[in-house]
Amino acid sequence: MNKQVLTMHINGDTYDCLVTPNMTLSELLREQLGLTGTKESCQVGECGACTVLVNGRPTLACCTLAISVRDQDILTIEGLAHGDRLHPLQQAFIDQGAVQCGFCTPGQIMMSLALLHENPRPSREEVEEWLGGNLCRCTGYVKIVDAVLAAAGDYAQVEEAK
Amino acid sequence: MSSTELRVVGKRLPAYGAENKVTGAARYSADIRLPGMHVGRLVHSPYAHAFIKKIDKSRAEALPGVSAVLTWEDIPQVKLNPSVQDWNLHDTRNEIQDMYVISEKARFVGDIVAAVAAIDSATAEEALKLIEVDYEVLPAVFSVEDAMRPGAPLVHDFAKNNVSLSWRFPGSRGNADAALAEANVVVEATARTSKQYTMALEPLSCLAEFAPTGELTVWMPVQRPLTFRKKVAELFGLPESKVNVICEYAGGFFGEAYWSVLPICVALARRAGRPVKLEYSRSETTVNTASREVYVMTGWLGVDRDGILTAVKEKVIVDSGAYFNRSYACTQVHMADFLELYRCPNTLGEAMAVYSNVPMASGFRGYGGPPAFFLLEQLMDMAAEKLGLDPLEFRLRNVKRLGDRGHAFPLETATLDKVIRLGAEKFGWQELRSCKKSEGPLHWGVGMACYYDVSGGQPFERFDRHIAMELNEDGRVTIIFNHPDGGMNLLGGVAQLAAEVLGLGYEDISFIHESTEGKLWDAGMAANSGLYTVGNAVIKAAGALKARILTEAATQLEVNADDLEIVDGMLWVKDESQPRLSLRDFAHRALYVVPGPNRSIGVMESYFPDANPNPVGVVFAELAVDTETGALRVEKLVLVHDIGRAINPMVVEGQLQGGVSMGVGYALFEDACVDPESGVLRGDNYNTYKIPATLDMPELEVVLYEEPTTSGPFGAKGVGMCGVHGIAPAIANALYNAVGVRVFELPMTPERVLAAIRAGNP
Repeated sequence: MNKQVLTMHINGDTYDCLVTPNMTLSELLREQLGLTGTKESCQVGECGACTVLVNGRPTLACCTLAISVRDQDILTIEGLAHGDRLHPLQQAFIDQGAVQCGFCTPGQIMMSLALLHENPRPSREEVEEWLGGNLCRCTGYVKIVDAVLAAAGDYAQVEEAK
Repeated sequence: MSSTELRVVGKRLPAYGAENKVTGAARYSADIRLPGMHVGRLVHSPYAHAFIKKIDKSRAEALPGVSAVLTWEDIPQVKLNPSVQDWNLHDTRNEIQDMYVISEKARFVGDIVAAVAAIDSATAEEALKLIEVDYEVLPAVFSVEDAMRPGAPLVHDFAKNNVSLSWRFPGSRGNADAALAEANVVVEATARTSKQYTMALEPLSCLAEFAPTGELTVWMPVQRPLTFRKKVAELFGLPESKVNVICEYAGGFFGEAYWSVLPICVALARRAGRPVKLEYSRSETTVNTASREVYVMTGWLGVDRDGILTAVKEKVIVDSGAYFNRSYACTQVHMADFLELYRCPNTLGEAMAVYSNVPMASGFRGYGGPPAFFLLEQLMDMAAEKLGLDPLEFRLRNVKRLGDRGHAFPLETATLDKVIRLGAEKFGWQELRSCKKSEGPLHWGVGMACYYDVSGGQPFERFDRHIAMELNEDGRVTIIFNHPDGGMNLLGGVAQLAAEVLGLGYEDISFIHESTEGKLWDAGMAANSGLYTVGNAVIKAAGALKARILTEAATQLEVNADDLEIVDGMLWVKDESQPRLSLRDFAHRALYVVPGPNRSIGVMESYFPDANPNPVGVVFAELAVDTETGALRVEKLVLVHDIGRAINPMVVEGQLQGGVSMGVGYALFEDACVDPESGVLRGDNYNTYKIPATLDMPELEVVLYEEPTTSGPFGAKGVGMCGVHGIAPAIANALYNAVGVRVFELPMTPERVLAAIRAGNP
């Protein structure tokens, strides 16, 4: 298949990538750029593990052609922290015990980030609704939802659930 | 030691390594790439049962970019069972070895027929199409009933009627049949469970590389790396010390289903003469690993006029699928769970393992427990109703007491009655039971179920632990053992224990844990054994290390070792107002300053578990049944778990909450559904096999009950598998309470509930 050079903007860096038209964004991130924080699990857009933000919108990297997001702002889990200062969502996931095996965690955090951009003070129900497509087999979700509420500064809702 | 004196144990501390997971820095096996690496792909049987008459791989081998093509003819035809653990402290007598790496005969749809390695995935997939397989399709059996019919096709030639093993539970006692004949009340029921898969988020993968010196390195998710190292070394004629199995992070440890990817990937790497990465698709991760066993079981309870159990009996058939795997161990656990939760003088368990042409089953979170409690706890409610007793009161009359045996050892604490009472209070059992609600087609009901589990496998499978621990020059302590991080926070838990014993902070403990290389032998992770057995080993080693430090420090400081103590990383002489020395300065002096030989401060310790406290718990459920659709809406769950002592309550809650979500799925919708015509596993990805998502989870309250055991680390006992057990039976009992019908088949789908309502059973 013909390869072409795409200019990709990922986590504030600009890359010139040689890709085939059928290459997915997750393949590009993981295999070509070594940004393996974005996970692949179901490969059919069902589990949310590969969620990244494209121009701030949550996007399933396993079902997105790399070519379709050229020249757009892509944010992956690797782009969230500033140096060793974690993003409040990352810190909240740690503090609330929302991380077990960690495989779904990057997708959960990216989806939560999109939610907080849109709605900085979500209710518990709104968080559950937004994360409804991000599967986790370890946690039963309670502490993940707690973490998002805590990151939003809403400790009242976290405590209420305890 | 009272809890008020504890500085680190019992605290809600962040999971060890969580920073790496929230930043994407944690590397799982599929994230690793090596220069010159080729990729592997597999050919799977499209038939449930077929002989490979002829297989021609020449065209595939000739394709440019292909480095290896393997069929059964290229693989040593050694029979094995990946779940047999080989060590002498494991009861392996009945684990049947019946599996090849690649077999001449396919025994389920998806069984591996051939493997290729090629320069990229497109070339590998093209090569798969060039392999010509001539199958002789055989008749197949897809259920234990079909498999045991006279004249049914045999999955394995040695197993007549496809029955591989029949046995009586060795712990059976008294005379259950006689007791049933004399009992005032007898209840009996037959139940069938579903094919539940772990569906861990990480797809299975393996990367294998041979060094020019002959050393083999593999990266893969694995719960028992050292036992896999032994198996793969034997299979490929390598010394164990030349095989290094690496697993730093794994995307969910729920069972021991990882084997199949390993030998094929290693064989590909050897044939290709270069590193090969074999990544299973989600479908392969399901079909070529293992499910929870499907059980068909009949249970009986006999009760006297005082509401005391006089007989518990079970006959169980386990559907192994195509290979035996852990059918024996899981069913032993199953019968122990069924027969030993309550106090009863007469028990009898009889089991039969049966092959069928469906993907295999193996050990999966809870082993045979969730099926056992699904039946047992419904029978308990049925008996209580016949006796005219509140189900809670009936259970309280039959709990085990101090002096009774748990599943193997005398109880260290007798807590089930306390746990039940606490749960009833938190849930509001009396109030909710007395005011039954209904509204149009919706009927509300409440139910409860108890469970118990183990803290390791002793005495049947003993989890001995051997670890090394050293004080670094910086005053921090490193623990050296082989335990991958599969999400249970074993590392954080034992770091808390070590820090507590040593007088250090949580952050002062770190690990070298991710590879088998240079580690002492270890049995790996299973059976809630982690924190209990590894924790006890760490406490022992930390105690020894502390003694070494104090002895050396006493010499350095010219004081009596008994007068020294370590507090927050500082060495103090008792009753002095200032610390004498930091551990950092002490370690530095021991190595570089004190005259004479330098003194590296390290210890190696072994721990041999000789007890097994049983964690117990209770689940209360409230649900609404829609009598028009059969849909169950679980409104609320309360789970109380006796943890002995919670080393990190946040982590214990997380284990239980996650287990509950698996239990909710098991109860309501999880089933991989083997197609009865073709044998195809219908549920092989998240779009065909539903696992609970946020919106499927009911309101959940997890309560930890702490009454320290004598043998556990600071009194702790196991938890990892426990959250699943009580959910399905509590929901089934709530369903009966709501509309007066019972469902004995999992999952309790709307169709089954509606059919039961229409039939008006029981």
